[in-house]
Amino acid sequence: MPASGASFRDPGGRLYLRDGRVLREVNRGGLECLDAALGSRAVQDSIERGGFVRTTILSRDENHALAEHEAIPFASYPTEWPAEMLHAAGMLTLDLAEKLAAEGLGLKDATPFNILFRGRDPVFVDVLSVERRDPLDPLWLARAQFIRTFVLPLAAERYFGIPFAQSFANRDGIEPEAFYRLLTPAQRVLPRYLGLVSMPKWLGSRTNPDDASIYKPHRVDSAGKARFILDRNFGSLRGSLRKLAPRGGQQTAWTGYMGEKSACSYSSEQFAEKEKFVADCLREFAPKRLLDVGANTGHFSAMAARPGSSGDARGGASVVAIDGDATVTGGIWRRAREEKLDVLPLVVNLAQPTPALGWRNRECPSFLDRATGAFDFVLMLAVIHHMLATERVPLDEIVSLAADLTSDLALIEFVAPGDPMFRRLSRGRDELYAYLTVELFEQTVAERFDTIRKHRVSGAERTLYLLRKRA
Amino acid sequence: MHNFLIIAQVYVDPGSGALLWQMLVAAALGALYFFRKLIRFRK
Repeated sequence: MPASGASFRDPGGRLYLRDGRVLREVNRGGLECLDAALGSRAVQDSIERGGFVRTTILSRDENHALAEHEAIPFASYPTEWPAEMLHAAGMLTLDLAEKLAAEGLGLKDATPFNILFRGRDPVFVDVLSVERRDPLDPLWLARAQFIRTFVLPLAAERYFGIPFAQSFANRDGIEPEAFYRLLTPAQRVLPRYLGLVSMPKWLGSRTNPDDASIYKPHRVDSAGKARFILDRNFGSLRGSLRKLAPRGGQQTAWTGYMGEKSACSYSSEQFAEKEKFVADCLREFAPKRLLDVGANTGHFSAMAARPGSSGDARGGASVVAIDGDATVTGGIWRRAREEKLDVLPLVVNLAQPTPALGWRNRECPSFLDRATGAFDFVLMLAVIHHMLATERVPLDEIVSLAADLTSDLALIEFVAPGDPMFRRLSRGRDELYAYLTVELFEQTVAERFDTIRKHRVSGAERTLYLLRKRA
Repeated sequence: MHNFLIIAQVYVDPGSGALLWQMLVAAALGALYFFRKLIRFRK
């Protein structure tokens, strides 16, 4: 059985994915970590609250063990998260590290790649990150990694508008030296940056790179002193993270899209018609796993995820909501948290989806690899005209991708070139899209789908299609 | 236990400047801990 491409860095074990099961083989070196994790009260409490991956030991002897983890429905990576989600992942990591420290345990690494999201909620998935700590050790060796991969990417996004895709171009985040170059001399001495960026940069540049003595274990004379220092270290990181908590309410070109009649081309009556069509489809076909492409405020994602709305007695659909705008995606996450909805919002532009990343491109599979066939319902509302006009993707390619993504149904809104929003996007190039008619759209979708029903929105150049993929 | 800790230390890059800064802060906090204990002892 081939090992997962994401697991080879861990010297304590390997992860295997088979038939939807997640198995971890733990070698002798990793057994102590496994025991430490599963024997920890902090970990057990976190498992109960859903913050730590549920793990069952299938077999074990003195040299190795085989464990099975719960499968998280849809894997996502920090490059696809809005700031709200990276912040939540950082808080979860810090909470866990602090609670483990009270039991004489710790986290040996602190990276967002140890976290996946089950819907809106972060889950710590790297069981072998837990280690037993020397009670006299006052340092947290993973602190620098925590700063590189949580604190500095959040600060870079907040203060310099640098997207996470850029911050995580290096898997280990942003080095203090790289962040230092972004700062003016006055900013470098601000308390906010002094301990996180400037002091590490200045001290690092005065250190002989061949001098390994600084990496030798550092111990103090009492366990009480070590805990005192460690607790304040965690407190300081928590303070830094708290100051970087994303604030809602920022505006981008897309944040007011659903609210402005002029932007989304709908009157309230027309929008009510569209809502009714979508709600009826969701109720009748009760999707289990739904992908909302171009989710914007997450209005329809929330509708699909809300218990009862999809007609499923067990609750709504499990939704992955994607949008290229990180601010609106962050808004979807806030909404999902407030309304307790099973929605995983991701910053993904389907015209330029997340590529496969990491060693041999196997550590993080591309978005399309993860998404293909993973959904039984794909929503593409008010989005294909953006792909056609802004991204210049041909119609048959868009329809083909929709057919690859869904295993069963797709609900697509066709927006004709005469629509005010389409005309705004085409920027005077109307003749380029003159060929795009309802008839051509229907002909194109007929190659991959059967139309179950359609509805032309009254007084608008928009038609909604519920489509079933051909076998 | 000793070998285990060595493995743990090579697992992540502790950063040289960041580690030195953490040590300096730890030394300052260690002194604070000492004085706090001293004050409590005198009370």
